Amino acid sequence: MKKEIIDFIQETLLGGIQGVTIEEEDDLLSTGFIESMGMMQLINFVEEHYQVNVTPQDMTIENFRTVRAIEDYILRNK
Amino acid sequence: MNCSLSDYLSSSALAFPDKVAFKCGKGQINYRSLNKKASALSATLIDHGIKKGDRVGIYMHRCLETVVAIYGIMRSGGVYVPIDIKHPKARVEYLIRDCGIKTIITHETQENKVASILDSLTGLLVIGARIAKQKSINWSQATENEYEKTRTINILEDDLAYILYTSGSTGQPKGIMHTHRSGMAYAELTASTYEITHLDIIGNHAPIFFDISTLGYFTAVYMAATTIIATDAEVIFPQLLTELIEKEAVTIWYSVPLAIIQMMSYEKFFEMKFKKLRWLLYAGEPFNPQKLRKWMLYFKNVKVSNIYGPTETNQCTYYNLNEIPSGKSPIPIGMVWKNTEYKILNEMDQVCESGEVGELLIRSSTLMAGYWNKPELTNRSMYLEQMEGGYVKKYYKTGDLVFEDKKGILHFKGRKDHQIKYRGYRIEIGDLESAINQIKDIEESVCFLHEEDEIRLIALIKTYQNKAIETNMIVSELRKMIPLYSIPQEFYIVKDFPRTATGKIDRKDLKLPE
Repeated sequence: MKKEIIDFIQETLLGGIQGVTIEEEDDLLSTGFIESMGMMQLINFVEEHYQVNVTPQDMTIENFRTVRAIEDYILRNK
Repeated sequence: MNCSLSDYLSSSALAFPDKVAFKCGKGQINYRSLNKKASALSATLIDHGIKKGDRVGIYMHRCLETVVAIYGIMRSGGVYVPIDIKHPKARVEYLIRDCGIKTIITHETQENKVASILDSLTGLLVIGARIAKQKSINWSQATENEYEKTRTINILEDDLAYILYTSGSTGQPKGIMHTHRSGMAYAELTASTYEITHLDIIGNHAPIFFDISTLGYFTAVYMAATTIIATDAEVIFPQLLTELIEKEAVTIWYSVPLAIIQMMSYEKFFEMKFKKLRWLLYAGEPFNPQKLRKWMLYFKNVKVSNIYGPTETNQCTYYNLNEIPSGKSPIPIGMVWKNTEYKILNEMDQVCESGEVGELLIRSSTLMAGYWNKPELTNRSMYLEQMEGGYVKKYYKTGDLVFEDKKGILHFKGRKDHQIKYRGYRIEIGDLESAINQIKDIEESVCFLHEEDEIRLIALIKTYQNKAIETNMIVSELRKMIPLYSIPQEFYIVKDFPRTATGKIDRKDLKLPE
């Protein structure tokens, strides 16, 4: 699952910057990797791909800071 | 006497050394340390050959280091050039080459990205990250350099201070050059218009490549106020942004309307008090009047100002809402502020009568020096009025269509060309459409802004033989060519577009397909 999320971020959200690799522990939020529009796309991807309903309350830094955190969140809510 | 933006920092550091100048996330810096670090960085830059007028790129996310970089560069006599870290590699490379940037200041968290972006460039100096192929200096080394008074560079008001790149009609971005004078005029005009003092706490949402950021980065420093830089995480999650305003007791908030609208969708938004908030300033695109009404009904004690101005002028008009908007009609852009003159000209270059729509021309102390490397474009964008005795008045032709009502209030009516302003970004519709048309199977495309609850950027697409095409594919192809902000939110495949009698696309008649 981590690889799928990483692929999605690298290909869809960072498509314009070649050669950047994301590790599962990289901070996605605090360093400008993703901004609000990108986050919407990422949340849509999580919802459609893993059949998880991401409520506004769940849209927090803790749940989306790293690829590992996103995976944990999906597994908890599946 | 203040002769440069950097002098503002020296003065405020003398008057209020222990006052918090900037805060971002968990970090903060007072005026004394900021001044010291900026001086140290300027000494480092001078040691490495930066001369007055040299352009220095800033490749950073939202962080405290942006302030040190901006003031360090300006104090060295250099010109700061923000680079959007979300731009495709090709666009960043273009900017670096076009602007003749030899030095880039970045942040260690951007190391991998910077390395990848710079891999086909050579001979650069990188400060703030280790890049194998380039000469690099780490951040603490660069900002702890002992600064000697003898190195003070004599900066004139007329010297260049910063260059902001924005979308250009030729398909390549253009660099808008601002001097210390135009930056200082902006700081002084905003301070007087919004009665800003050292007691103010300014909420800064904009990244540094947007001129909206100059309120927090220039005006606040001029008045020795405190600026709260929203972190990238806070910008992503509107609930955090909302809580930031509350927690930090922000007194002046300035952003694009979208950020405010997103905050209003947070369920606890209307439980907020925003006790200290006294100004809500917005710019960059129209604010849906019904949304604004909702905001104003709840926060009755907060004054609201609609700010207008192309990056070439930073800000030039404002409209303070004395009443809560009741209908659906757009909020006017208001009147010009001090030190600013305007004209509205029709297609025959004649001054428009009241109510007649024409192009807005602006003459102001905040006006840019010109477009970097594009003297012809600079000349074409200016309107010269010959006065008596050979004196010439210079106006900037905004390309924006406006009319003046009987009370002397200006109203925005659209663009002369096909440029749009979306979430504060300028987008040339022609550039966007030609990028879409390069994608396999796409024959033709038309893009437009659609306004319902919020403003959305829509693309209508005609494919060869009406082939089906996946939105994800279009988006990832576009990501390689154009910045994310200019990618439409929705794509619709249509058989054809509305056309005029002569077969041209009828842009006035574009709407969402059923």
